[in-house]
Amino acid sequence: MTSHDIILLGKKIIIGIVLAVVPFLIFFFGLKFIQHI
Amino acid sequence: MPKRSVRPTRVPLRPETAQKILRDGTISLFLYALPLLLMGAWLYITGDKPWLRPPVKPSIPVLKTVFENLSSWGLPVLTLGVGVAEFLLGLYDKRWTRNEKILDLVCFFGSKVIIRPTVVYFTLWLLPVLLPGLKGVFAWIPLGWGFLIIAVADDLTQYWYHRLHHQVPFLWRFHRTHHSAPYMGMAMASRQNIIYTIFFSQIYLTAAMTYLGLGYAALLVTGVKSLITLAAHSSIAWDKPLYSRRWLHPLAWVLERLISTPATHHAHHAASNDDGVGHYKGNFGNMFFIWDVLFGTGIITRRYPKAYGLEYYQGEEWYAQFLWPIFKSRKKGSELSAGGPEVSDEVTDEAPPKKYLYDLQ
Repeated sequence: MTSHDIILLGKKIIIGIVLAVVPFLIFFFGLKFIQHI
Repeated sequence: MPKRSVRPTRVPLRPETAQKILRDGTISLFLYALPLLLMGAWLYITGDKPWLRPPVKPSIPVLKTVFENLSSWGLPVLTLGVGVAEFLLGLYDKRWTRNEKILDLVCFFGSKVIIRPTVVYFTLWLLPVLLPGLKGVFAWIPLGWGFLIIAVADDLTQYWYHRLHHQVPFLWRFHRTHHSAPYMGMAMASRQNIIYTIFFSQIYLTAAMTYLGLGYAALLVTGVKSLITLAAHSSIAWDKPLYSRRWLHPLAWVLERLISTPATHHAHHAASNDDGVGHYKGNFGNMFFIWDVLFGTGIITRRYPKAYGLEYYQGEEWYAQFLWPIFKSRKKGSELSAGGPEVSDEVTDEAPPKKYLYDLQ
């Protein structure tokens, strides 16, 4: 693995985390909000 | 210490592609919220407050057994069964070479050995640390609504994970292994690069939702989704009768827009777009095809491509395809070789026609 590959991998992991965390936050706060209606 | 960097030929992300990703990503935020809005409206209208009641475990023993087994031994057995049928029917022809066989089998068993323990570790050990005190907080959600929430969460996230690996040039090589197979079938359904498999965003999202109390819904969605995606990859075209019988056309119309079918998913694996059937820069949907319809990334032709795989495929070594970028290919000029191009194909995400092709016939 080269340093370029490690940077590539890092960028890929960040995109993966964003893809999981953003919908999670929508669901979490959305469901919490519904409980307070 | 990492070796001295050998920079591959880089392909920039086109501004119009970035613009579409941004637009569709913004729309997706609303789509994620849609099941919550619907459930919230329903509970408001009916005056029901299920979180005030003790959570009730759904009484579905038959479904539970089926889908629990599907998630453990059931699905691999089903995959192997259909795979053997495809092999006996000669559907792989002579394209299943030794290198392809090793790659397909390593990916199939590798995903079971690597992914399952990773997800179990994430669910049992990491989530209680990341989300302390939140275990089962949404166990009150009725099963039907839970199913809708998980189905959208899991599949829309996978749509984006998949789409970005096709449209963002530096991500393509992590997904290339899935498209290099010159055939369709059970053997290649789980054929993925290890990094692509380990960082599947939707499995961690679904694991987190399970931790919050949506386990039964997640079990059901996983079962249904596995069946649909496996059937879409199969070389047995289960959808063909729907197109040849006129009275089944209304059902076909709904199904092909709602879920992935062999026709739409095979088009995604086509070697070329030139025949008017292949659409390998679109049709990204896994369980649902509706995302492709909504975002304009889908084409429905009700036909199957003549050839599958990559036109520039060099039969790269199985270990390079499975473990890139840890191991590189020795094939000169390959995308997986040291310093190879990020994307060999010039075609980017060209816009699909306004009308679906079969409507024009």
